[in-house]
Amino acid sequence: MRLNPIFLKDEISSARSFTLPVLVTLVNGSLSILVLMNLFFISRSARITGEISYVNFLRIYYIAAAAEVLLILLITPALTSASVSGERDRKTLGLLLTTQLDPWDIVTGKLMGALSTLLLLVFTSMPILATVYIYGGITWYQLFLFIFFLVTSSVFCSSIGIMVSSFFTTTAAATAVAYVMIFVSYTVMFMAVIFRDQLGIPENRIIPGIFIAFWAMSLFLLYISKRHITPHRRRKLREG
Amino acid sequence: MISLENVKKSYGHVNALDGLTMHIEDGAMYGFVGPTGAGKTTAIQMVCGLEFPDEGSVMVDDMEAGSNVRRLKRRIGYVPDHTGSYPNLRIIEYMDFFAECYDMRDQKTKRRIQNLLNMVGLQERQTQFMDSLNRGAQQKLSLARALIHDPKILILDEPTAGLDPNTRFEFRQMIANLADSGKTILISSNVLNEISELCTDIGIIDQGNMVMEGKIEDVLDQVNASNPIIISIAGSLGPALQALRADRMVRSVSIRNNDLLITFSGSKKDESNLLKKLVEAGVPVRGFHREKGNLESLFLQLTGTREERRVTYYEAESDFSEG
Ligand SMILES: Nc1ncnc2c1ncn2[C@@H]1O[C@H](COP(=O)(O)OP(=O)(O)OP(=O)(O)O)[C@@H](O)[C@H]1O
Ligand SMILES: [Mg+2]
Repeated sequence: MRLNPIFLKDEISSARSFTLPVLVTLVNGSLSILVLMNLFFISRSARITGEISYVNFLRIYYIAAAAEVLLILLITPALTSASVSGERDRKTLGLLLTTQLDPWDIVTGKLMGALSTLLLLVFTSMPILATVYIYGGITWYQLFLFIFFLVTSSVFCSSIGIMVSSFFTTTAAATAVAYVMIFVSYTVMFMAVIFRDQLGIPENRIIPGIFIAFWAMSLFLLYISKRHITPHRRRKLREG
Repeated sequence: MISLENVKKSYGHVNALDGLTMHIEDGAMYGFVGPTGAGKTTAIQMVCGLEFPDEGSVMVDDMEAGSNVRRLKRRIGYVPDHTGSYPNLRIIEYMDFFAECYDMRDQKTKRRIQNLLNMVGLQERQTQFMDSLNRGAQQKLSLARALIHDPKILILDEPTAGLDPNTRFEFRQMIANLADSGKTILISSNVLNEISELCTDIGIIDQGNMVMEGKIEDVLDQVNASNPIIISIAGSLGPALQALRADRMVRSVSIRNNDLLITFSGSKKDESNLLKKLVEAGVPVRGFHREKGNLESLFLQLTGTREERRVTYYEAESDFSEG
């Protein structure tokens, strides 16, 4: 199989930096602390009152899950908003475009690079979140839904990061715009969930609807990034 | 064959190219010269398909530049003005990466990469990281990289700018060898003398326009025609001045190191007639020849910067009467 050259190259580079070990330690470390602290308090109160609060276990799950989503939303722009602009800064974007590499390969290579990091975070944190299984309370379906939502969010946020980094020349501006776009998108999503009844969305449509919307937007964002980095004829502006 | 026809391109209010026309024959070693900001890089990027003209056409062989034809990309190797580098890749990884960008990953490619690194003198250093390379080594690597897919056309944008004289010489040598191997080469510079010995063809660009283009011999001939004739005389200059003043085609006379320098507007035949006249007038002529073409002064003339003349001009009537 032919692996994307951009992806391979970026993997070599990132293996030489501290980013990945630091990220894994921070994300899994903070999730662990959250879960362990909760377990600790529950078992302490159990020792004192002799009552184990299963509701609290579920609460850990929700808190940890929310924390993980939040971490993905925060980390992804930092991972991706220099992806294309970095190539431009190093003057390598032009070089890549003169090779037989398709501009689409550049975009997907950058996406794969971001996902390799994000999915590593998602899957290595699963055992921590799975502590909630000790006492039951969530279904396989919910767990699957959650993982799929994390994967979807990783793809979506990476696509936003790649898109802004192909449009903006400075990484700072790109990062800022990426955060704003992510904030707006997820706010809209929550609004749709909360005001589902008022909006007249049937209950069984809301989850597939959200996933379809995120994936469609991801594809669209990647497509416009690809279009933007491909050298093209400037459209004539009409005079007057 | 690369041809640009009446190409215009503006960035905001700046006309980077203002009707540029340019032709590069197959197998030519084309020197593309112009002062800073003349539009060289813009034109080169168009040939490489990285920019598109607002008006006019850019063709490479039978294909429009920038059309996404794989055959076209395979044909062009590009050494940009700023070496694009990945500081934390090793030299050999950099080469492998670009080979993969051309879908080349077999054993033959590995050998080719070694040969190229050997050619530019970086084979021993291939496991070094790119951020340890100085500008000279980066440019050499950039050249090796541009040749990975064995392109028919090699385009170099001011490759020797910022290099020390030694590296500059080595680099020129490599390019000369590549030209001998039959590649079409386009090399830009803002110093004409630097590339004039290498080139078979020359194009001089100024403010987005081609001001002179052609085979180097033709350009040199034109340069020569605008240069003064130097007449060396044994003895006093008086009689010579008299004879020269009488000739209508002599535009001006000046003195340099006891030689007479005249600007002369006649043909080669007229030149020989003038010499005959001088000899017949009894002037002891010791030497009579056109000053060798100085491309640099032509370049400076064409591109607007007047060269300071080292000769002092005299009005023939006033100062030489006592001679
Ligand atoms: N991306 C751009 N945006 C705005 N102006 C540009 C851009 N690229 C080039 N220009 C302008 O177009 C003109 C031609 O630039 P170009 O880089 O082609 O010149 P050059 O001959 O390569 O000069 P140099 O010897 O400095 O490399 C310059 O005035 C430059 O300022
Ligand atoms: Mg330039």
